[in-house]
Amino acid sequence: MLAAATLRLFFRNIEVLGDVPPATGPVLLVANHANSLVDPLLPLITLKRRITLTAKNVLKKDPLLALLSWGLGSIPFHRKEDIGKGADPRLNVESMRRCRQTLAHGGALCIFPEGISHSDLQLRLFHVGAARIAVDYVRKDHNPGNLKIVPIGLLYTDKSRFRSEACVCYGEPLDMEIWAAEHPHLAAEDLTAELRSRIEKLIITYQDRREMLILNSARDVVLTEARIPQALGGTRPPTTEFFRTLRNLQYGYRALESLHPAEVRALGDRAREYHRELRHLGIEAAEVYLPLNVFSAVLFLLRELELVFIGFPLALWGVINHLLPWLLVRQIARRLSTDTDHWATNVVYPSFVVFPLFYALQLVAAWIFLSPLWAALYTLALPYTGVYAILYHERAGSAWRRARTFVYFLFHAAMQKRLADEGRAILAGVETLAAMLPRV
Amino acid sequence: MLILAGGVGVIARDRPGVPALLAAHLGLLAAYICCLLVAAKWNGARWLGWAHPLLAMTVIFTLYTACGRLGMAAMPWRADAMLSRIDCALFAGINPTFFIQRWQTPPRVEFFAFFYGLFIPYINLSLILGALGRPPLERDQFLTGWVFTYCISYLGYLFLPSAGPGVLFASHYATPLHGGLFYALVLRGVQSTGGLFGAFPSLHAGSSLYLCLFDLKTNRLRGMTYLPIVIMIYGATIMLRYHYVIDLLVGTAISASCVHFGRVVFLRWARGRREAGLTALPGGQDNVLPDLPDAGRGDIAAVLPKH
Repeated sequence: MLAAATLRLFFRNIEVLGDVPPATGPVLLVANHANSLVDPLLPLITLKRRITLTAKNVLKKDPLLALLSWGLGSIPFHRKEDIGKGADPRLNVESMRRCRQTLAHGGALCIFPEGISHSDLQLRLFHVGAARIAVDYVRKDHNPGNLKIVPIGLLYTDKSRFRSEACVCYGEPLDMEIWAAEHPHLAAEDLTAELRSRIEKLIITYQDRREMLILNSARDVVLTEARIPQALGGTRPPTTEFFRTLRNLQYGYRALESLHPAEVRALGDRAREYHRELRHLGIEAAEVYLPLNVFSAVLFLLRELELVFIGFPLALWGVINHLLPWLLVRQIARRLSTDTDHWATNVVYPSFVVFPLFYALQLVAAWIFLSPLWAALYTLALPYTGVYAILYHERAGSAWRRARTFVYFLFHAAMQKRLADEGRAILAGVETLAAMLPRV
Repeated sequence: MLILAGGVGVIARDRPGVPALLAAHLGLLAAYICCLLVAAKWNGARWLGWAHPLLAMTVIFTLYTACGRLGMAAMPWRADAMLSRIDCALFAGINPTFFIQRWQTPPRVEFFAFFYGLFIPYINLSLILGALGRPPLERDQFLTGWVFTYCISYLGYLFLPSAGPGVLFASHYATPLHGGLFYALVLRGVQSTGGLFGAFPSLHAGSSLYLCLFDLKTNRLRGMTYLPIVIMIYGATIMLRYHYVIDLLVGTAISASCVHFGRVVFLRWARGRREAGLTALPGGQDNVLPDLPDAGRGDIAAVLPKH
């Protein structure tokens, strides 16, 4: 519950796609590893069953992680590259046995075959451990309960940013009975390749940095649809729309790169340049199409000022009560993070301890010093205003940015026209290229 | 609702005060039919997008007073005694309206009167922002559920007329309520709408909760901003002796179900229009209808196409 609450605060939206694995029977979950210790939490909170995690043994050097690892009952694995840090790969035999035992009891086991969290553009080489557990489970234990291997794609819109979005894609399960019948040699390397290929289809990888920049720039333009931006605070498009657009653009980009290289390169450069200019001006792609009429401005002001004024006391109360633990968590995260894929972990995990601790202190004080009615009110208001303060801060930021863009365009109408025309031209270019795609 | 109210008026036309109310209802019905005919004639006109919510709000707010008065005039019974008995049963024999007397000090009455009075600006602001600031599909789902909330509640106004505990037990309370400026404003507001009628179910609770729940689904910050105010409005209706607890419970149930009901009924209607070769909404706005997937679950094939 704590993990679910914390993750749902860190990420604005967590979407689940695909068929969630069954609640009973042996299941081996294999996923890409892009966001350190946040990755195992996502299946943990989206599956309605207990999951046994695997972890590298060196994590246990950190007392907090050791405690967490013990609490979650995770199975340690000793990697060759950690031998100098106290790892003993011979002990993996026992770890493998424990994994198979978990599966034999109808449990779910989660493994990250890449072995390390990273921010690379592509998947790293897969270790064969996950496949070996599955193969041994069939060969040595005779596959009791018929093991299913479920590939999971973990996608993040911006993994290190507070209030970004995440997607958990459950791929089609691989039935070990069928796979074993089709692969009588039961080669763990074959299964590893199969798992890698399945996970690759669930996530988005890039050939190189240029491809990533072009596609992400084009995605922002395409997602605007050259339409008037949505009112702030309304229903946001699903996170899947973000990845679907990216995926479609990537398909088109790769298919046309060899067929029409000049056009693709020109449009890609144009999209990147446009993206760079917008970023320089501090304007979001959708806000280029802001209508500059009095009615829209009055409606915007009414809507935003209403919330700013009425919500201010709630937000202020939330800030007052959560500022200290938040500053502490941020300080811890800053000290511990050395890479982008550490930040979320270093915010989420300390929050498990810091916030409940502060809550406990605050509530004890409230129930000692206040009357029962006020203490009860304080108890209810504490988490409510905490969440409120986050949403308020987010909204106030968006409202400020939009207001600033509005005023900027009010005095630079020609600039808005040029940017809007350029956005529409890029969109038209994407559509023109899409029409050139070879028919499947 | 207008036809039903007209029917009730016709049946009870001999009771004092009913003919005038019947005439008002029939006039409203005639005006509404005229508006519908105009809307049907200019089905594709853009102005229908804002005229339609305006018409819905006008009719609903007119019915608010009209239905309550008609119920009081046309029905030979009052539901107050029954509602009060239900309240006692809910609280194991204790009548909540008397139980809370010890806390009804003037400052508290004034405090709750402030929130009771907030109901009017809250619903009007929500309706304006709901009608003007939402995408067309969401706006019409919002309005459909809101209209349902009121219409279902008006059935209570019509057939179970009640004036609330403040009237039923006026001579039984230890002391009358005393407040300040806000309480005086509330009293004046009640008198200006013709006195107390239509206590069951509570639209103060139902309507404000509907707006809040819909916002929580579509605009969470706004919903969360008003949730404490809605809770205070609930408390105020009891504190100021305008409602029984059962009124609040039924109002809550109606509004909570109408959030879902309004969406389902509206989307079915819009699909029906599409199947009949019309645009999904009058005025031709927003032709893309959602497929209503299960909450939080999407179709993976659609997101990651098999290229």
